[in-house]
Amino acid sequence: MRHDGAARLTVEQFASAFHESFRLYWLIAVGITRDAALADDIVQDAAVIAMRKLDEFQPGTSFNAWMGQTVRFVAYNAARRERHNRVASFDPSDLDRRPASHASEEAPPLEDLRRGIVAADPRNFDDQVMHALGSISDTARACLLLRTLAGLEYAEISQLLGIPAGTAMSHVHRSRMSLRRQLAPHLPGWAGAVGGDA
Amino acid sequence: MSRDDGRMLNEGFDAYVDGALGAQQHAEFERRVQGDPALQAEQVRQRAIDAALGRLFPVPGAERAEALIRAAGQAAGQAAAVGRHAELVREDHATGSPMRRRGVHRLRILAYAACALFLAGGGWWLASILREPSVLSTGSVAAEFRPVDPLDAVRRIEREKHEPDLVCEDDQQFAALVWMRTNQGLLLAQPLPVGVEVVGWNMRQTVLSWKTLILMARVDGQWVYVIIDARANDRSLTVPSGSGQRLFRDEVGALVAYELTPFDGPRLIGLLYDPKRDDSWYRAGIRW
Repeated sequence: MRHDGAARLTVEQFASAFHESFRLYWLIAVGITRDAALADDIVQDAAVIAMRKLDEFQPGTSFNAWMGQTVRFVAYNAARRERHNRVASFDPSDLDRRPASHASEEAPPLEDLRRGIVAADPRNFDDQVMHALGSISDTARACLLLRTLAGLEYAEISQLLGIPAGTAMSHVHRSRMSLRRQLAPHLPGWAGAVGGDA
Repeated sequence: MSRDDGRMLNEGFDAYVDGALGAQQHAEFERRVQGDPALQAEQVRQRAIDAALGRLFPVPGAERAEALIRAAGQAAGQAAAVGRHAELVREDHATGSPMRRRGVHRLRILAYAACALFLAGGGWWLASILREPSVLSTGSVAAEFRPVDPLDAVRRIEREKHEPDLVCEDDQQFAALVWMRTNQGLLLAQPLPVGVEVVGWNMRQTVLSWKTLILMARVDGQWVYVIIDARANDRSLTVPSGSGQRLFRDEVGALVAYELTPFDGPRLIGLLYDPKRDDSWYRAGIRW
């Protein structure tokens, strides 16, 4: 949305505009971090920062472009922090208190627990998708989610992410192709099921 | 097929799945897909991926936006102004006043469309995948996930005003949800004790794994949460003393359940049991 006129953006106007496009900011955050719960924190932090810097918003310019930039800034910082923290997510002393049943063969390796990494269930397609998403860039992921889950036009994605519309389109197409290629081995039954009569 | 033909086909397919083709081109490509098993398979893969994206990243509702903006307003020292906005939004929602702008309307239509697409695609995909479970049994990955502390998970749920991701219509749906995520069904013994009211599921807090489910319930007017996951994903969950919360652990077959409660003893996990039904019963319960 655009706020025309020279008047400063009020907090009420900010809240209204934020409310209107909240889902898009959330998708940017989750696109960058791949963490739905963390995305909430990011969008909230971005709103706090933006509210404190309302003077910096130039009336007549795109609110979404301004807010999208703030969300991206916070999300990249959060992603960096998460990458750093993930290595030491657990207190090793807690491991000694694990109940006896945890010592079963199904329990994840101790080293994985220490590093906060759990092997994904290979039977779960969503896990495979999440893993494959890790192979595409943060921006490409955000483009893909904004296009797939919010149905945005490329011009709108371009504005939110500060990239040319053609680049956004290219990101979406390449990401889709990459995911299909990566996930094809995990869906061996599909081709046969659909094209079985050919 | 030459390399150029392959590239053009890919571009055509991408434009097709992207909805970027004109009506006539779309119809032509649709016919082409119908006669080409390889393209059909590609289409099926794309739908499965889109449905998975919707499940992995469920876009939050308007209530959560309001909760976040309120919290942000408080943090920024602008609670009063944000509160005025919230009142206007509520008034707008209640009366359909002119404040409901075209942009909001459009976003809502997009959200409904995304939901419908997600439900249709997800349901179709799930039904198909359950007919052929072995297709998911190949390969192995070690995806990273960020464990969420139980108390952080609860804080997030509170911030969302306990808005459930799913409210089950009946026991079969309840059991099917747990079965889908953990390969084992789960039910609560009925009738529920007096003072216990099950509110719904939160499915986005990765406390033990991507597949952690949190059952939200009211017990004697207080919020109680049951964190459920496969026992294979278990780790020592703890809550610090002085948090006002206590954590109780139990196992039901291959599942582990932690009850996070302000009470001195568990009130819910003792009610959980494995209904031990066959797969077809669970599949019939998948209605979301």
